[in-house]
Amino acid sequence: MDTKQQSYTLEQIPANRRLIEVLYANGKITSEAKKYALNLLYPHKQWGLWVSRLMLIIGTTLMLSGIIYFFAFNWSKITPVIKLSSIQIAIFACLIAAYLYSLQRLSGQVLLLCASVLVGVFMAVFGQIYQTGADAYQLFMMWSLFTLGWTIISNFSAQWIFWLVITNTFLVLWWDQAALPSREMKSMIFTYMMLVNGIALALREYFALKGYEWLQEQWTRVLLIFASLLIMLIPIIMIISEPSRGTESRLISSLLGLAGHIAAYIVYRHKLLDMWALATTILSACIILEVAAFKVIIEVFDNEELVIFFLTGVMTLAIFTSAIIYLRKIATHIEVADHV
Amino acid sequence: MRTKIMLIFSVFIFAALNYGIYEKEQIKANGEVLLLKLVPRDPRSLMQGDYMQLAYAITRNLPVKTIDSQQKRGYMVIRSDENNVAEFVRFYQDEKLAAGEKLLHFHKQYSSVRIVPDSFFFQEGHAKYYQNAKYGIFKFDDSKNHLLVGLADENRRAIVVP
Repeated sequence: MDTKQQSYTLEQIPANRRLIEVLYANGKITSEAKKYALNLLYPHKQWGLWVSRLMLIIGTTLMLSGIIYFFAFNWSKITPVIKLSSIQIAIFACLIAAYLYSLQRLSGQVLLLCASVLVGVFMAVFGQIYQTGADAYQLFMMWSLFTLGWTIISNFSAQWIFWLVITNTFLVLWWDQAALPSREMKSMIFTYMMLVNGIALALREYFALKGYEWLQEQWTRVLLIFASLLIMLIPIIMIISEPSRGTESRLISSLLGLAGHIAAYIVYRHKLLDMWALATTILSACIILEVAAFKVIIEVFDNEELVIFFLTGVMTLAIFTSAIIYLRKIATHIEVADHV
Repeated sequence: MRTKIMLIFSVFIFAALNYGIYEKEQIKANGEVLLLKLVPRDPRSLMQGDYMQLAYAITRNLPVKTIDSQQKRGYMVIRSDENNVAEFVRFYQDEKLAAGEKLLHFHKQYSSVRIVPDSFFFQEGHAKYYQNAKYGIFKFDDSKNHLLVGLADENRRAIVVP
């Protein structure tokens, strides 16, 4: 251990809370030195920055929902011209403010996001005035197309997530309302959504590795993985629980979903080690195992509820316990690697 | 630089949004009025907050079998009767239209035909004015477009919210 530690230079030893605590516990530094070092590493004011950002986001959300409710409540009292032009003025104001703050700053980016949301509000109001009604996919299609340009240049992860939500909504609605798939092909929507969100995740990882700082925020990865895994999980569960209704599209989607799970495991276990992502993947795999095992139990013990419930309980314990043991092993492994 | 590109995109978006308004206003101003009879859609109580589901009498008893079963959308030719209510003439197959004939776009899934819009939006609480609507008031232009501008009662008078 000692000889090994000597091969480290000072720059290679990470300065973190753990190191300071260890130094203090071993009496190497005084309590004042500990306080000073911790304050240097984790400034007091950091929470203030966090709170002010949280407030900015909550404030923006509340203001936008206020605008939406204002229109909903006063619907027939406002003439169409006023409705449409006031939304346009609001979009315009957001853009001017975004221009003045510039897109380098968070406030500018949030203003651009506001403008993007308002474009959707405009189209919803437009749809109500002219009763374009039921084909909601057109609204989301145009919304997604209109905001694509702004999103590409925004360098803002919230804007991208917003755009992805709209685009996914468009896909689902379009599939239902315009593509009118046959029963055999109905579940292809999962494949399409896997591709869209999987590509988004892959691009995020690729450009984050290339050093784009705005993409390196952890929450975008967790959110994208969660969404992608959920989309992959649904067709797999469908095919396990109802194998007799395994249409071609369900089969394709679930095979792709399985491949996606394996890819996520390999990437976040071996390439970009990430406990959050790995745990999400393992949890999703556990759900698949659970459903499959339950299906087997229910097929074998047809009407014996007592046996079914007992075995399901034991099996659930077994699956999740082994998953947790496995994850803890990896976690310890990472910690050892980090702190030797 | 990015901010400048943002402004360029914005110009396009404003142009597109306002062109949308212009297009609809053109139909509203110059379109020909035609009524489409509504039928109660089962269940009748499908009043969800601020819109109402519509079903059109014209989509009942259509000779759906005469069109290709794979066809998912198309136009039907309609014409007005003595009360200015639209009636079905035939499915459109790119032929020349006679005077007074208009085209109505439809979607088809399995054997049911749907006309869009099949919903009518109004302010929350205004359901009482519209619940006895018997006709949808449409405006048609000559380039296959239509616009639902309001609902009418059994005497074919437009319903006006006081």
